[in-house]
Amino acid sequence: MAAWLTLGMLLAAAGCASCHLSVRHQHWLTRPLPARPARLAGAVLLAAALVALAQAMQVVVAVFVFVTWTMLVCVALPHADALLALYRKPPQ
Amino acid sequence: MRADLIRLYKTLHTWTGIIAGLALFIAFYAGAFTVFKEPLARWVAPPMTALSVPLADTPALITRTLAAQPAAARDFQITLNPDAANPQRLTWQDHPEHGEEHDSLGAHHYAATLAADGSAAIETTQPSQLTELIDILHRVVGLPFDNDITRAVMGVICMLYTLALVSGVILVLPTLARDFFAMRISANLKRMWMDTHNVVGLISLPFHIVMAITAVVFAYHDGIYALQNKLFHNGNLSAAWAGAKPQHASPRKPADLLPPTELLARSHRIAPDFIPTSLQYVQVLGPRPTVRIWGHDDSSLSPRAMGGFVALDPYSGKVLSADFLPGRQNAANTTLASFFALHFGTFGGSVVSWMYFLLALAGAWLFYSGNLLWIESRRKGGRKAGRKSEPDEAQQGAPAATQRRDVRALANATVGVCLGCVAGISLTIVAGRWLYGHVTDLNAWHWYVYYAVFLASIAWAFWRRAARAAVELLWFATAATLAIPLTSLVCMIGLLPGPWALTDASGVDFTAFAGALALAWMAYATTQRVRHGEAGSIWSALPEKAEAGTESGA
Repeated sequence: MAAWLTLGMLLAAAGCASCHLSVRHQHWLTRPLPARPARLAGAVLLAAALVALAQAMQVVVAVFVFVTWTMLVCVALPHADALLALYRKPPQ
Repeated sequence: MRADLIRLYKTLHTWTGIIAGLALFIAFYAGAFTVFKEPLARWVAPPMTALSVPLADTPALITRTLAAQPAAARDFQITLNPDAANPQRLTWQDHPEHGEEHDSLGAHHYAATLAADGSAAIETTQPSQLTELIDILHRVVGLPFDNDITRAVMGVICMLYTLALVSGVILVLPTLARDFFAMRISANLKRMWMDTHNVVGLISLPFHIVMAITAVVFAYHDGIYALQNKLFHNGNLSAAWAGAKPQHASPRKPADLLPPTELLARSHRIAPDFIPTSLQYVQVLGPRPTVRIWGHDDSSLSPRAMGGFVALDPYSGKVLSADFLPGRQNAANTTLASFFALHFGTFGGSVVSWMYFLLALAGAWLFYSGNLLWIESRRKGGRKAGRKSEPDEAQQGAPAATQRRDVRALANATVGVCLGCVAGISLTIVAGRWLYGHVTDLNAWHWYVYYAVFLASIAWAFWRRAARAAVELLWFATAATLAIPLTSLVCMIGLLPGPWALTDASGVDFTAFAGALALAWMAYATTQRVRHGEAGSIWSALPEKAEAGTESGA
């Protein structure tokens, strides 16, 4: 269970990051990733994450874990981004 | 969307949020800790000093205990893995006859063990109710009692919460695609608070919708059952729960009970992945004896906060019900269990517990930032404190702004309530070890410590005003939270005499240390703003100097 769970969480985090890096507000990259390919890749990674999680647990539980984890990652990414922006260029 | 509609939803969102925000902060902050009730209970409980009765000797323990204390047959529990928080193998509770149904604090606790001569030795126990205190703060939004009235208050708060969620989503809809993931860091602090509020609120919306709906149901479930009884069961709902007629009319003998090891083997055959934690025997001498084997299965949903169970006949081992057994529920029961599991986070094991812990803290942040937004929107700007020495005549000559009384009051209340809750919970945890053995009723002292700190923090915030109080109370909360790992350190090196002398550091200590670091960072950042922000603002520490002659400062 642990291996599938870890894989699923990593894939979901990568999928969220791929979507996040395609928006114009991100600060990790000098230019955002091309929107369409990055979001498509994000969707594929998220789908793969759900499949991996479903190997580790009941499907309904896999969906709940997937949604909970993606919520957490998607809340964390913009805040980490803001901290990076603050570190690089504090507001005047 | 029409501007008047937006205005309407904005008003609705603002006022529902402001009315419910502080109560919801407490509910979410305390709720984050309820996810880790077991580690917290172990942290505060003195280490085990004696070995429990071996599981193989449990049949004798049950037989002799029931012979000595037949009233225990109504409902007793066998703990499979005794630890510091639950050191006894066989325990039961005696609830006051006319007590509040949901009041777990008024119960008398008993434990039984086998004496050297083989007889049952029964003693009253006083398990720590620290985690119950935190759970009550969570359940009834910081009020001190869990009864019908406080639950009704909580229900109203949760309905306001639901309205705030719906209106908030409608407000951000027009800019959803453009501002999704947006966290703009600039000198415009209101923009920054708005972004962080929107990011947390919008992205964790499914979590909040589940919490809001289930909390309303929990608040009014007695009324819902009463209505269901009247409308659908003609007043016979209790008979529907009772099930079929009892099969055994003759008195039962405890000596005929199947040994726990045999019952556990049967549950293992039904659900191999199910990990049992305790056996709850109900009415074992009555006509409808049942043993509920409680446990959990990380790959399935657990329908209750303490897990799920399979119900067996303790004499024959026959399965009476698997409706609450994780992984063995039908579609209807799985749907119902989903609501409980999604509220309590009882799925996916410790990984999901951590996710819920962080999402609950993010939820507390959502309500705190909502209040800050309200204050930021209404506070009047003044001159920059840092520019006072600069040769800027216009700045120096400009009068400092006088803030509205309601803005000042909400700023003070936000600082006092939120930081008072944080410091209060931390200190009442610490008090569990420092006061052990020094006070007669430690459980009552947990309440005294929490409310003393909480109320004193509010008073302090109103006395010192939001800006100064925010810095001082943040450092106070930092110290209170840091006291948790420091207490463990003191125990480890033997400076705190008592039963914790050999206690190791735990996840509670590491989490508290991380929390203290986060609070210290917030205290530092707040100090910077208070010193260098606009004089005369809510968040300036220089109101008297800047506002000499004005109403009362900001």
